[in-house]
Amino acid sequence: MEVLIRRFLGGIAFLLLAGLMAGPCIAENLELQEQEIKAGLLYNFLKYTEWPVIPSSMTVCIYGEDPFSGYLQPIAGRSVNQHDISLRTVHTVDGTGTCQLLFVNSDEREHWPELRKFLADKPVLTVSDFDTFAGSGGMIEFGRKNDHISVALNIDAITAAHLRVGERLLKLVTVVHPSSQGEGQ
Amino acid sequence: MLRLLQKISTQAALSAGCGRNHALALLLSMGSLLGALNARAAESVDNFALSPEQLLDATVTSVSKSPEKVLDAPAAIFVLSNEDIIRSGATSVPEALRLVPGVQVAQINANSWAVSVRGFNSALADKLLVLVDGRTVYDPLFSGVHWDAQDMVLEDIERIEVIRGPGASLWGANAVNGVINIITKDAKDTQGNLASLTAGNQERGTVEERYGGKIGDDGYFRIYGKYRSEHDDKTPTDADAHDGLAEARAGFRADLGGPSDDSYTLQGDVYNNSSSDFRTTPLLVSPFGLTQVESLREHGANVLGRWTRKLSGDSSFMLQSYVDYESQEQEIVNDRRTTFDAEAQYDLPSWWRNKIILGADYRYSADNLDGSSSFVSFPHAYEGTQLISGFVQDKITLIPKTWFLTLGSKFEHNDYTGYAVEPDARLQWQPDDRQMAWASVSRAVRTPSRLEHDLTISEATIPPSIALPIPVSLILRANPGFGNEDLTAYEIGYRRQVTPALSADITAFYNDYSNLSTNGLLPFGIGFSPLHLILPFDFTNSTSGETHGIEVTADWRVMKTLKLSASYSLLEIDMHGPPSTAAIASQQADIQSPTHQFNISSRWDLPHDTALDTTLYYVDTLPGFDVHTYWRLDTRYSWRIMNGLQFSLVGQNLLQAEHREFSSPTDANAAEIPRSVFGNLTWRY
Repeated sequence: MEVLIRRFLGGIAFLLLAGLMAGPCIAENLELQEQEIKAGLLYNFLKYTEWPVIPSSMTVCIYGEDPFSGYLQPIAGRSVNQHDISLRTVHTVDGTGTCQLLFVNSDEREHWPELRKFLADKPVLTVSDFDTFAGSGGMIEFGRKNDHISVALNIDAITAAHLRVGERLLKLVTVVHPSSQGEGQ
Repeated sequence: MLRLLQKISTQAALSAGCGRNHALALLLSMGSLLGALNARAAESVDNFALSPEQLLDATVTSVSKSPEKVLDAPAAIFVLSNEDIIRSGATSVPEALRLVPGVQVAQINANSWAVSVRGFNSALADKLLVLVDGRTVYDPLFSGVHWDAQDMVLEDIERIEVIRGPGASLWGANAVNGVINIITKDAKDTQGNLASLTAGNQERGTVEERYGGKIGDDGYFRIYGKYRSEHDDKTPTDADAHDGLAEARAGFRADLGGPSDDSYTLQGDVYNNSSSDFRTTPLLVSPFGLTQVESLREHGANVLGRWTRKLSGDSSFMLQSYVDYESQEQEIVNDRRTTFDAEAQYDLPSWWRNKIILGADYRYSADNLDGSSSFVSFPHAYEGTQLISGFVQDKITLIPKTWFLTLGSKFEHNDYTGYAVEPDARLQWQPDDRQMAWASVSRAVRTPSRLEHDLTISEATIPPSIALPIPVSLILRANPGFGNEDLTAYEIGYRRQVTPALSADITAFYNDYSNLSTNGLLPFGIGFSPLHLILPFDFTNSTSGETHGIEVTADWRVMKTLKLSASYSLLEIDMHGPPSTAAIASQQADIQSPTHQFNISSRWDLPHDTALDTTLYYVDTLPGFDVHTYWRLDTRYSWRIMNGLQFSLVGQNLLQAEHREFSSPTDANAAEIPRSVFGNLTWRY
């Protein structure tokens, strides 16, 4: 009996040890909430985009309710490329002009044409996850493919707004040219 | 169907001794494990520190809504997520249900299952309601579920919610001991292609293909096809059990509406299954019973539509309707059934301290039996029955955020027994957002099946003996007077998020049953050519009884890469009624469901995109079927070869070459469930 108990405890110790050793390698098989991934990507968009003029701090705006279930909140107070980031929600079209990055809640999609008209070629990086976004003048559209988040990037809208997106991002996303109806990598 | 009827007869012979085997309570090991080791909080990932490559490579978890909702529900609820199902190595829904506390799952043979909640398990288990995306899948012929017809692409299941205890106030009759609610993924979550291949020593081969695409700007759809084939098992005497099966099915689901206030779902399936079994035909001359292999065919189709409208605030309205056709074909009788159902639910806006839900349901179900023979007879081949019901439920806030009282009742009218009222009261205490205690009293009824009401079946012939030199013919008579079975259930539960990494849930219940079905002998008669004794029996409502038990579950995320889960179920059954030896009689319930059940599982993510998942199950003896206590070990190793391509190797029942889980060894359809090893390749593209 005692032997059995010892073996049992030994087994648990082995399991824990092996698990601890496996710990640091976890990043290879990441499983995250959808909003957690999207929030992380927004941070990377800030990191790999160049604005023509950057104020002292970067402003991330959400048009409408915050759909990120708390995953985007911690971005406020962090910094990117030595610029502090602030986060705010906006409910008026006029309020979006001072944002560097604007995430449009898909519930507000009916306001998108109005927003786009207002923003025109202002250097605001627009992001949303409704599926006609990049095709209707939006810059970055989140989608889903099986269990992964996909990103479509409207390079024409980005160029028109005098923004530049880094090579590293361009390699990872689907680049679309809605104005010429062509698609390419 | 007849193979089910037959299960009554072959077991009607003699029951084994009733000495209950008191197996060791296994609660101990779980308690010490949780107590002794200090829980480490699961470290959360800093999503802003991840590279864009890592983020775009990450898998989206689909657990979403359920956890909070589960913690809030004042009921014994357990949710199997898609991940739980896949990582258990299950190839079918009943297999996945083995993980759920308070659920008895036993595989009878390759094509049939006995699944029940809180006892009364049998191939004809009749106190359970099973829903697939809101469509009721129990067959009113015997109030049970054809589990082999409920196959699906497991990857497309969002979750399975199992509610133990009467869910009658919301779901209605037959939700006596529990509700199993299978919910498939929204079409939005199954975009792209998925192809899957499975093969092994028992799994002859399964092929699945699913494609998901878009409809316009806001709509999504998926279509799927699946073919599954399993090898025959062996009988207890090592002969071929002829129970292998081949199943083909296809279906679709479309979800429209997107962010607007209206959302629409349209879905449907078609299937065609074939398998076989042994059927014993009773004879009045030697050899008095002829056992032959009979082929079984079942096919069916269903289509369901649902419209949901979000109204102001927390209010909503839902309208749903479906049509379901199923056909069960056997050598001597075929059953074809068509069901039409329409239901509406209105969640009223919160009003002062009340949150009220109203619902109404209309169902028409018609069946057509044909192929009547001398063994089975019924007064009319065609029968259509109506079920009309409504429910009201009010969740009353007694003290904001802390004390709630939910009062509800279902009101129902069916063509067999008329009106039934099924009330339910639940008190809930939430001292903080990490713990909740609840208590409930509820009433439920199980309405009669067509089998009990209408069917007369020649079950078996007892050969002549020295004591009685003429054969005895056992006949199950229809009893149009058979009434409802009644339950009053008392439950208490407590669940707690002990640390962010450790949660536990405990439920205790006491069920008080009356008017349970009983096989009662009727006055005997004499038949001629050749001379024989006729021993008729029928179903009456003459048994009462009590069951009580405890169900405990605990989840412990030891670290980000390792999760341990355990559950223990205790079930004590005490039945009182006229003595009977027939297996279907409720008095037999205590020797046909395990007293103790236990399982512990580990879900372990390893380096290099691999994972090792292991589950150990313990199931107590079933003296009624001479089924011994068994341990079952299932393990799954998976490897993500590249983005989208995954290989897994699964071993089931690894501790034994084979074991019997249900049905007495003398039952013609008893089978040994063998060790099964299979590989699966899943490609998402």
